[in-house]
Amino acid sequence: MPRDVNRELLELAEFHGEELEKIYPQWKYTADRMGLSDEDIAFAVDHYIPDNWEVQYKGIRMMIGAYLRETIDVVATPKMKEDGVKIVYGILPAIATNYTAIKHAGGDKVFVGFPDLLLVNVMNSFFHEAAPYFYRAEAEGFTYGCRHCPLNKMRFAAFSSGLIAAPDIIWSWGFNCDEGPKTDEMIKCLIGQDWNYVVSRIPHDTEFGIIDDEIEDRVKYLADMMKLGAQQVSDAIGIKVTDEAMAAAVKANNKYSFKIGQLVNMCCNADPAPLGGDALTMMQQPITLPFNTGFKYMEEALDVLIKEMRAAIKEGRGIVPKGAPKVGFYNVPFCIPWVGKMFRDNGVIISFSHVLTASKKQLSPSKYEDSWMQAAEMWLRMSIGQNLGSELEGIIEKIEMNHPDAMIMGFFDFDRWLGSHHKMLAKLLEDRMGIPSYYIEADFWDDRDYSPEALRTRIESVCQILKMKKGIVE
Amino acid sequence: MARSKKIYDKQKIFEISSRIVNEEGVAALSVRHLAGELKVSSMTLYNYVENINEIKKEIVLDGMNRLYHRVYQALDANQETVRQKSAAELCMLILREIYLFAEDYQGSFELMFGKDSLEFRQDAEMRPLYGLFWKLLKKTCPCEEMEDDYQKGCVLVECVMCSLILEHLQNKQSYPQAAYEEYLGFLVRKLFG
Repeated sequence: MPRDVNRELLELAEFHGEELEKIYPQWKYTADRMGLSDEDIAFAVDHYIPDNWEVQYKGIRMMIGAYLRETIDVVATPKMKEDGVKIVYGILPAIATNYTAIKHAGGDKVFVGFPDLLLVNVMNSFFHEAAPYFYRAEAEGFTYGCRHCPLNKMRFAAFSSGLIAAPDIIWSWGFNCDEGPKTDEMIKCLIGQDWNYVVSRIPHDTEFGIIDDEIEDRVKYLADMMKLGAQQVSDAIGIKVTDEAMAAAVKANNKYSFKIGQLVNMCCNADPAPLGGDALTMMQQPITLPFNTGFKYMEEALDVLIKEMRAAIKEGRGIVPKGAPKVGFYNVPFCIPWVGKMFRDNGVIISFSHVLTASKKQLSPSKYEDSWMQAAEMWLRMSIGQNLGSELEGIIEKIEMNHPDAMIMGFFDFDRWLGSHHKMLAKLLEDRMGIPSYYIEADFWDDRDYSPEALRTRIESVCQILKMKKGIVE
Repeated sequence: MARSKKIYDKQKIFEISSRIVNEEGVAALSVRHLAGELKVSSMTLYNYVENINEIKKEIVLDGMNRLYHRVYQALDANQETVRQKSAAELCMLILREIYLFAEDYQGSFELMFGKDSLEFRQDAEMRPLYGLFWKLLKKTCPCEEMEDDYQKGCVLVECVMCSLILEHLQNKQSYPQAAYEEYLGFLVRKLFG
């Protein structure tokens, strides 16, 4: 009897019984639309997923299931649109609160998501198959060597192949990426479809020593930008984003953030480490990657994983030997999960991602009553809303909380200022804390151009230094 | 048009470059020579690497990795020395491994610690890989007040080490292993003994 690899994948992702039968045809359709062959899925089930993800834990398998569910929804957007569902997309960093508020307001009448990030993420993290989309975008005009963000390439390819629906509106944030709107303009010209666009920005004009979230005017400015953006979304889709919807979104976000904070702190301070930073970062991602399914399935996975981690720590079980050095990352390249494996193979564990790990301040209650002010304050407390000086203080706090033996910056060489930002942070951290901080030149989303051997060389060097230091210390 | 197929992967370019540097010397490394070895045009090569400095950087990174591997193995095989945390002993052990590495990979060593290294030491990726002595000896320092002296000592040891090995490799002055260890042993005892 021939293998049914799709069924095996869904079972691995903790779909069983009636639920499995219900989701099976939807997934088959999704896999087919995404160009995933049975061979690709067999490779994922037999090798790529078990090699790179800690699937011995049910919580991790459920997390994979949550990402697959979301992918099914994203690929169903053309059908949703035909059925009259309004489509709202976000662009990095699509902090979930605003999109969750839209979802709270619109329910099944609206789809919210960040398709390019989700698709790159799922295709590369679980199948190692995002490359055909990048090649497609390049064949239609994106320059190969120009280090465009692969998220824009994916968005272009996903539109041009008809994988995702044209949105009613895209809500973009100029926190990290200034290339998104221009890319969308290009897509619209090439594909001949039109949609509304709203770009919300913060000034990015503060200096070292100024803490944005403590200045009420700045919080108010961002809250007003959010309201303005939400109003434009409401005008485009005919669904009003109420104060109550925003309050519900903030509450859901805070609940998830608190739980994920617990998990990260627990895993980073355990010896031996029971879980790697890739998995932790994937669990953290719904904070900046709005899911149309909301936090529901990820939170279920998170609850199970927290229990499993408590048990593993109690029993002294880990995925690396006790005493193995730990490295923190600016942002763990979870779309290239073999990087984390390379560290593990060299006896070092990736412990946490700075960007997605909440600081104490992020987890502390807001001083505002108004939910828009609360959301704005939350954004400004996140590293991506801060200036370099505030962010540095945040990293230092997280290093003191999570005790890595070194920090790794890099993997964002494509993204204009973010590349230099990482280099500066590495130096500042070493100067301030004396903690070894390394910089690795590589791409977060796209590993086509990597020489695995060149990357291995860098990772092995870092791991050997850390093991030598640790050996001498102990 | 997009490049859908690679003629060579970058790794092959780096491997051949490393062979040229270590067999024929650093001066022999040029895009033209490399393109000839790969049987492609110089322009084709530039599709894969930005310039000759990118290649040199990879040779240095590879050299650092080999060197660290060697030092790591040596420390692992000398657990007693590691346990004693004697800065002088550890320093001599590392110096010995570096000398042996330099004999095996002369070209790589010249790139890593010769005049080109000034540029590499400023590179964000490479900077943290330099200064191995201080990285490893910091924890052997008896007290915080002496850390500054130890750090300066580490810089001196690295300078003298580089100077002796480079003179030896470039045939300016012969320093067989015993002589090298004698000179550096003297310095290390003065600094950390």
